[in-house]
Amino acid sequence: MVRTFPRDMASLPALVDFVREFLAAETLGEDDAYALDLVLEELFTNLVKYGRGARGDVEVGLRRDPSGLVLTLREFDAEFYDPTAAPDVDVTRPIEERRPGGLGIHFVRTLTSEFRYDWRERIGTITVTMRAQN
Amino acid sequence: MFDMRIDADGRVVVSGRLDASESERALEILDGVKGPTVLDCSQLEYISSAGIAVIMQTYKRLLAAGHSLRLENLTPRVRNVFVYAGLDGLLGIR
Repeated sequence: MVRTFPRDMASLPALVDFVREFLAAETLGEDDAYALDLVLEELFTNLVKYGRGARGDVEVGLRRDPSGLVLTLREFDAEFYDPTAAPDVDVTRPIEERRPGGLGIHFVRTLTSEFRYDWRERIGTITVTMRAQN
Repeated sequence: MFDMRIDADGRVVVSGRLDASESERALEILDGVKGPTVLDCSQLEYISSAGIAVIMQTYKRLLAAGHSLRLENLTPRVRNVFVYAGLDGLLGIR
């Protein structure tokens, strides 16, 4: 399933609906729902904040293959922006010493077996793969 | 549908989805809390890093004022997100 969304926080409810359509089509359960919602929200909101796509929209793809649940986010006419290079946060530090930011990408790394970025012909593609729970 | 309300006994009851589209509203409500606070999460279905940032910010503000913030009744899936964040042993979660 592939759908395009405006690169805006207001797209989040539509992204949730999109994930629900995919879950229903693949007969997946609530654990997969939560993990997909979380990874998609973190990657999408990262693009809202830092994305470089001139078109202002993001194409989101969801599919299931033997490797698991595969999620892609594509920006077109985009400058290079690689979220996989973001430094990880140290979640062992006391809360008083924590600074905002970085936790979203940490969740993505925690929940996925593959987290990849490709940029060619000004199309930026983020691909993550997650193991299905149900 | 996200909602957050402060009960008569001072407990803050949060419900629905606390995501990036609702985090500003959540912070505005929590900024109104000035004393020791219990956040009842029994109806909280979903939280992302944006929601956790709001809770961390509130925790730090209350701590600096000599107060506390405790989270209660988390569902297993919401609790997992706090585990991923390394916060399950903090925030007085139970």
